[in-house]
Amino acid sequence: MDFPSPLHPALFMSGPLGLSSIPDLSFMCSWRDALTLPESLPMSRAENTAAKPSAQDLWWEPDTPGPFPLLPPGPEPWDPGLTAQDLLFRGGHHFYSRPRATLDVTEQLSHFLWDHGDVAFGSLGTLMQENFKLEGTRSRSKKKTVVSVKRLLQDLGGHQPWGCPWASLSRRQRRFSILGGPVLGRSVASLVGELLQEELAGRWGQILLDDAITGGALAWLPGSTALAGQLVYPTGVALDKLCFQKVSLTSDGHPRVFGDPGHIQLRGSVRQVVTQTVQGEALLAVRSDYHCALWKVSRQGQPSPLQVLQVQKGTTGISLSPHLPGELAVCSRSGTICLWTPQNGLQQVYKDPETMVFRDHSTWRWADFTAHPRVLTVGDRTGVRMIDTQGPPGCGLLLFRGGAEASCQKGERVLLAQYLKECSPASLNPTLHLICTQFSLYLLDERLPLVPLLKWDHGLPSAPLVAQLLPVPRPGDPRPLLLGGQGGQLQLLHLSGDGSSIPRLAGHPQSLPVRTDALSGFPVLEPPGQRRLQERLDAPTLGLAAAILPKASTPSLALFQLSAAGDVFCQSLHLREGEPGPEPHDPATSWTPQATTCCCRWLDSTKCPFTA
Amino acid sequence: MYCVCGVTRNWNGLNGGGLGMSNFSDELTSPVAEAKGVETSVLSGTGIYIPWLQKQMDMVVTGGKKKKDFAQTTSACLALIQEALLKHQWQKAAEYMHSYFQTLEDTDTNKRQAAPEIIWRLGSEILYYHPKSNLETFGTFADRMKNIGVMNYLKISLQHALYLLHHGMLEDANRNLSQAETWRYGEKSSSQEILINLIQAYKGLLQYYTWSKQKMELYKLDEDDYAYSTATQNMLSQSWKTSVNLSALIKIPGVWDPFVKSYVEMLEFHGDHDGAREILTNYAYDEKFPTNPNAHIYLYSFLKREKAPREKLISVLKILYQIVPSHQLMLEFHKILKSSDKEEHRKLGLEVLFAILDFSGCTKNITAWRYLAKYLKETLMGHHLAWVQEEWNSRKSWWPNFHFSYFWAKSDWMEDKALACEKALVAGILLGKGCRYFRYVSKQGHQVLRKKIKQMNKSVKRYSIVNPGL
Repeated sequence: MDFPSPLHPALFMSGPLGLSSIPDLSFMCSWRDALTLPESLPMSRAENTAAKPSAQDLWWEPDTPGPFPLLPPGPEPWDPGLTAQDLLFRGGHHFYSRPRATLDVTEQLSHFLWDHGDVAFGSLGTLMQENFKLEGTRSRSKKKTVVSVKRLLQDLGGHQPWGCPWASLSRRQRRFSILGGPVLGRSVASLVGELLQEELAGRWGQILLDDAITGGALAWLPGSTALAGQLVYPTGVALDKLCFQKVSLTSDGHPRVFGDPGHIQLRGSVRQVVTQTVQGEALLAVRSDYHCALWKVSRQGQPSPLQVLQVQKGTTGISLSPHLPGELAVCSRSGTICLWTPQNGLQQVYKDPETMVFRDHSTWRWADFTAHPRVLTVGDRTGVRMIDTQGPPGCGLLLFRGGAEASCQKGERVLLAQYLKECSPASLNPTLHLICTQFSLYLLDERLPLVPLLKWDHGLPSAPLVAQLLPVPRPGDPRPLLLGGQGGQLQLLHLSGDGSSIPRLAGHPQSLPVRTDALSGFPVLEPPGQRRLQERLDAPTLGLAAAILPKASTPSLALFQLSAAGDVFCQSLHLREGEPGPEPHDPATSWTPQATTCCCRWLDSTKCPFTA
Repeated sequence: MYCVCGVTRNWNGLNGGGLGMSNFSDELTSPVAEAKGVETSVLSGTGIYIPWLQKQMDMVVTGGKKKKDFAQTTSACLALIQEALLKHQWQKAAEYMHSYFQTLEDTDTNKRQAAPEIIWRLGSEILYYHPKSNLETFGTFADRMKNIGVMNYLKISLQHALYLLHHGMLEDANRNLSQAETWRYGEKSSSQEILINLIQAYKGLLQYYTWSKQKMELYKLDEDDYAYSTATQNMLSQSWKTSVNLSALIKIPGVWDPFVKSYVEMLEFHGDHDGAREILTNYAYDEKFPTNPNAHIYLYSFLKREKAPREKLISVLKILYQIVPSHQLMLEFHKILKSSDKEEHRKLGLEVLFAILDFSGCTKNITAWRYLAKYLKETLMGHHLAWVQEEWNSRKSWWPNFHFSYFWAKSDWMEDKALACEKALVAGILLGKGCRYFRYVSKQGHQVLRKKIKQMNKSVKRYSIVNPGL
């Protein structure tokens, strides 16, 4: 293989994150990346200037203003679950100059005390009934501090004013509540409060960044022709039913569903679905919280199970080898990375409960393959390392380091690491790795560790947890790289560069319509229904899949999204190319009758009462 | 205050007098004690910065300090610009940009200081893609932005020069770089110094272009001509200037391929081989530098041009082999090793071939397979079965599936019969006659290749490492 030469000039400094004294030479401009240095020979330079290197305007034109539902919704109604609203303290923050996220433990606790008073106080009450004595020093205080429980219970007379703070209380009762409040409250608060705080913090962390869904739970299994395939995704409230839906693409890139999906019932929520075709053999791997499973898919699209693996500490990532059929890398929360083949079982290749570059509390680990079938990349929040599975354990070169080498910002963490496997040698080198953080996207060549060949500030307003490198739409075209945020945002980047040149961005990245853009395709509902619909469309993205239809004139792209509400949405796009026109891209692409019918039908069959 | 009006006027030309700098003057008079710190990224408590935390909180938290209208409009405007850029709506982005200039008047010091860089980043991006933008607009914008605040002068100058370079405006780029080179602000900080070095290096690169132009003309002249000597004299002075500009930067750890390459070419031309060697050796072997394969490749090709002894070449390629075993030069390395007298080198020669074929990008490299087939035969003929076995032991668990599966036998035979034959020979030697790949290929009765296949059968019978006793 060729190594690109010459590389872009880049400063190499080692040091911690956010070292500000070093100039960031990557500058974060997409155009800067497109700049080329003139060739050394003046002759060829003259030619270059003649054909002015114009800013190429690559644009995937959406066929509809937004994605629309491909499949009918699941039978179970959807509950958005906890939102930031439920967790955060809603009061003002008069004391902080900078707003802070404060978890509202008090409100949750008081809800608990109101709703489950018998649980909260019952046991203590029973314990105290026998020897109940609230005795203070009588001499100092004139207040009556002794209450007879017998009388108290008589007062209540079996009519406990549950849930009604204004029910009439006897003086005795009021006195009791004043005296007993701190005692009763403390035991509950000390027992439940800490656990509640922990749980809320966990849920809040999940809302901000849910590492379980890294990699995505929607996959496209290509069929016998380029126009047909299967979508594999989980459904059900618990996401424990794995569905196989046959889909075919029309010649202009519109997806069409065939029949009802086949399904497999699993015992655990599906977090990640991976497919890979190696040497003509299609494989499907699924990760749930504590299990991994592998299927082989026949030419007719029938899955047959190969093996299931249980992981005690919980799994965080799974990836299928692009080189050898049936080989997987499995990551566990204990910090162990294993190579797994159904024939030979597990082989531990890496174990480190600590993170590799600096200390980070996260137990998220990730692994993927490289251009060498025996070398894996192993990643955590702080960096990515290349591990030779045949070499001595524990050593390996760092491929990416969260630090000054890549001009990382303070607080920057790796959220996704992916090997950009390459099938056709004509375009990008098969040695590239994609690293995503909450701020930027990096491309690294495994032959030149630590120095990113490309850096782009993606600016997504949620965690980029799904990425997919798509095949070349036409020979000579740049490769589309799809990046999906947890919040549903999508970005499409165009990567160009062949074996002997550096990968670079061809044109400015583009954003694709999000699911909430579909709102205009639905009939207008009454405000509460409209709100519920918007809430449902706004559900986090769980997976992303795409199929490219290579065609000589206008290649098209079919994009599928799986949302946390269990909805599968699709969108088709067409490649448009040319000089940037003076008029902005026409935003007035309208809904096709087909898409609006899909929207209406979807709305009708939703059990969730949008129209009530 | 800053000269915002200049920027505005410049921008007006682009969007035909869009939105004016509306009345933000009253904002300026009211003292706003804004929240300090980076607004977009708020610590969530675990060390990781979550840029979208703020958005989540804005949806929930009511009360407390509210952002002033000014801050709200600027941040909304910024979001709109970014959105327009991602939708490739350059015109719209330019119009919003026009309003965004108000952020230069922010009373929050942090925001005000960060503003010029954001404006430059987004503005240059818009101007790079905007259909109505040209070199002149870009230049005016860059000149204005350079002088807003002092922190960005060097950065913007450099990027402006690169932009000009990209468009082939070498003289303008040179003028820009020369201006930036002499610029100083306060005490020279380390980051300033690096930037100045980089600026000088690009200047050196421009001088190199002139130099190589002169070199081209030199070839047209007669060596005995008077003009020839003046031309060489000119070139020498040019290269001396360049070396001054380049030498400082390439001592700083980094990737400096274009600079090193051109510098070495000049030194070599003027006969300073020791100087060139020193630079290349330093670039390749200094531990503070990243392990850049190109550094070793440049050093190797220099030594090869210099007709360095074989030992020297081997030692350079050995290191390249450790960094990039899949590089094309490894085939050349194999040839050098093969012809060496030392047994250890010949053994390495085999290792190198196996290592190339480990990589997924090289599986269809027919030269590598041909070399391997040939060299396996030679090695086995030379009674070095142990060498082959040593290499094979670590690969026998996966090469059969990776290279010699039935699928590959079929598809290789379909696509490239010559490749299939070479691979089949290797498969036969390593795995024996029973191997799927060998069996498939040897059964294909191909007219032209019949003789070759027959030969292959014979070789496998003789050399196969499986059951060596037979």
